[in-house]
Amino acid sequence: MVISESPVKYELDVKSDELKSMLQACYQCSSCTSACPVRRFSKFNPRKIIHNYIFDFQVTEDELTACLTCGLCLEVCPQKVDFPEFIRLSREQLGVDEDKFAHHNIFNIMQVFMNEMTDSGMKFDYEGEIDPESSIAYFPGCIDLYDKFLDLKETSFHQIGQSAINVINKTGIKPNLLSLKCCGHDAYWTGDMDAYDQVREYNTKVIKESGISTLVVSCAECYYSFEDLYDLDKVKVQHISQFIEERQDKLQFKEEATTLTYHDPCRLGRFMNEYDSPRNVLEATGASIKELSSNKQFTKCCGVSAWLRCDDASRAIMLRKLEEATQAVGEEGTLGVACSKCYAHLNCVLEDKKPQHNFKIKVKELGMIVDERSSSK
Amino acid sequence: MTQAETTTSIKVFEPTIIVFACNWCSYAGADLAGVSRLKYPSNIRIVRVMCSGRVDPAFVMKAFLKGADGVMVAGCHPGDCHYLEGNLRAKERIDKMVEAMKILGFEKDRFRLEWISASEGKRFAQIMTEFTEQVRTLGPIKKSE
Repeated sequence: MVISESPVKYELDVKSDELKSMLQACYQCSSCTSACPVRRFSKFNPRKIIHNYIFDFQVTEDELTACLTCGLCLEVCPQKVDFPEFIRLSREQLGVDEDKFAHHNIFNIMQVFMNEMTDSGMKFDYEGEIDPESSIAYFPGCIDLYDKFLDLKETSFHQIGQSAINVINKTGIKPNLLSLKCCGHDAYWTGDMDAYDQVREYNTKVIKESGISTLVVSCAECYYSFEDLYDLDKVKVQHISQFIEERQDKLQFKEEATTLTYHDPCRLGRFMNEYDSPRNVLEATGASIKELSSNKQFTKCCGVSAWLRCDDASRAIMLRKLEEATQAVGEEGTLGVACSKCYAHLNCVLEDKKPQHNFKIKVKELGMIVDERSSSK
Repeated sequence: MTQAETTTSIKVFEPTIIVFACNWCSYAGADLAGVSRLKYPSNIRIVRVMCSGRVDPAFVMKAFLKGADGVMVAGCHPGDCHYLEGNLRAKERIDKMVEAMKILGFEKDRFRLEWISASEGKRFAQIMTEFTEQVRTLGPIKKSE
């Protein structure tokens, strides 16, 4: 193990005693390291990080930012040591350096910009029937901003939101398009609690004042944030897959059969325990699902989380994911994802093309697949 | 400034404006305005970049976050770029940023993209005066709190 230069001394006590005792429960079996998707391509070593912390209270900046917080280590840990939460707390206390963020830190700046410069939520422009009085609301997330700042020629993020609205309309519902700020997921996981608290307060206020009963979101991260991190009382949060599953009898699906494979986003799968809804929905559309070699709770992450550090290891993880998908459904197949972020990262590496790789597989978002393969009854 | 304040009781808002000027055209244009002794407001702060294509949207957003009331990106005229197509790339990128600002609900009048060549000292002074007045009428940038 290469000891990274200039270790940042982690002097602070971990805020919760629970976490401290939990870290000390680690008996160094190295299950986490053997499962870690980053470890596959770099020297990142969760076991060693815990060891260093317990004995020296030290963690390096490199280690702090390399973790994807995908939660696979927690899944395989016999002692249930919450490593992602430990990383999150460390980031909160030590801060993450700006130049560690991918895309010139633009998405992080955007989040702060949203808080400090504007009084309103994001303004969306979607076609379809929208009813501001409806009790069911849809929130597309920050996908429109990806279109503006990610230089992807063949990928449309706006289409994720458009497809979701189309599908909701096909079930006979006119959704209210809620103008919220970013859900704050990335700020939360990179430890920027000020930004996170501000968006949470704003969003909670808007959601409660709008008088809606159900909030439908496309992105797994939005779903995790609104459902798990926020306190929305009676408002029910649904991922688009859950929404479609509940109302699939109102949709008519195409008859031609197709095969596709499905990647479980970490926030929807491991964090929110939702493995069945997306599969049920995809199967209802007439597609037969060929599983990836690592699936459900053991799915490997898509490669980047919270726009932090898109480096060689990240790209290797993404390419591995595409390779896995190609093995499952063949060269011309489709990989379905249920998270806008997975969709962004995998399409980004896919657009690189030759000589980096030669994958021809398509990556599509779940809402888009359902929209393509359905019509209203 | 303090003297002016005591003599006149009306305080005029003086905006802070950041101008990202390209080394080959706009910065030389500013130089020409200087040596020609043309007057333009002292509100502008020029940041010299090698090409307008170097300006990342993140720089502009960050300038606003750090308290700039207006931001301008100035480069060579299309076709005149020292690096052939840097300014065209800048335009593509900046146009998308302006659209993103619209999504966020931010006043886009506080931002401008201009092409100023090295020979246009007069135009440089004129544009800076115009933009300063424009931002002055918009008032200080408000931070929502």
